[in-house]
Amino acid sequence: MDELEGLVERMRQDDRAAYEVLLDRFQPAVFRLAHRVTGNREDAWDVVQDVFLAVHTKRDELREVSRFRPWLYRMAYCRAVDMVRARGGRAAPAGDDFLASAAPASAGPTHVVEAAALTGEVGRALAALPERFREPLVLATHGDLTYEQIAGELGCPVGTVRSRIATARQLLRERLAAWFGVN
Amino acid sequence: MTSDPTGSGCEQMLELLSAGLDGALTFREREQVEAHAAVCESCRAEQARMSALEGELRRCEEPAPGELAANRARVLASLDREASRARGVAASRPRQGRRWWQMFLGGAWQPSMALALAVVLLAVVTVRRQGPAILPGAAGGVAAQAPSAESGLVLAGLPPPDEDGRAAAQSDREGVAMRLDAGAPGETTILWVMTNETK
Repeated sequence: MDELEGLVERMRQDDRAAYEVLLDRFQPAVFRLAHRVTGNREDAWDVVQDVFLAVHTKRDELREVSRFRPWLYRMAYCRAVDMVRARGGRAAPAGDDFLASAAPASAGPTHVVEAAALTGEVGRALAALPERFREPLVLATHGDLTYEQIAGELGCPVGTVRSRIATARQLLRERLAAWFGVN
Repeated sequence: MTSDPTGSGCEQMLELLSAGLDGALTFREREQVEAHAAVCESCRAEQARMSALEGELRRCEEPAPGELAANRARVLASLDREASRARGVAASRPRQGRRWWQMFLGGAWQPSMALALAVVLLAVVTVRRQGPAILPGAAGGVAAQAPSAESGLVLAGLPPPDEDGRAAAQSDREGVAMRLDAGAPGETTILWVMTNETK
């Protein structure tokens, strides 16, 4: 049992200190994933809060401590998707949110605007992907999960995960051909 | 699009290039990709475009330290509230879940309630066997008297029965109420004693 698994085990036994360590360690990653799906900071923070409360209340449902990260990120993804649906539509990354991060402060205004536009386009293209392609792709790129872990969470073969992620990237490439060129 | 001497087609390369971006290739697959890319300009170009897209795809908003601290405090405060609520529910649950007979099994009332229960059971059993006697009470009401000469039991303080033959009153003992369901001659008559739990 490694250090993370030890923390998860302690958290399952209602150790508040272990829970707080996990909260500190995984908040940033859950926020990034949630923001990628919801497209804005406010919703992303709501997702982070919901997810960590759920981690506490559902800790008994986590059968294997080694599956904590897949379990956490899948929960974050599902909650983020639910939030977007509850808002009545697909996520559309807010340009303002991305303006600050899409380009270095030293870049000229034109570059900043173009970078923000590209980031917004990537977000919209991602949001438009069919769910069966988008979920494994987001879990791989923003949850940093292996294909085996994703397959375990989604309940499908590893080959299916690999194939769906490749298809997702191809669909994104086609939709963003204006930015990234064509074959 | 082309094929190379290793036998890898460009269609197969798309999946391998994608898996390569996630670090999900085996050693043999990595060799396969390198061998194909060495002879296929189209796939080399595709590899470069996919890498550029990947950079954008993985770009994310970073949480500010102040936001992390604020959210941490929010989550922990919510947990504390939830824990307090759960403790409150747990404390009240035994009261809600208690049966009437469990009232006699604990608390400061235990000795007196046990005695009261014994008396009432005796009265009910006797009344069921021989029928009750409804007697004039001291305050214009009636008293229920177990008609057993041996017991001589009289539970006083009941008002006159209504048309349905029922009477109810508070006992002189706080928290204890009595109800008499007087049956017609030949029918069962029951004397109830009810109590509230007190702490």
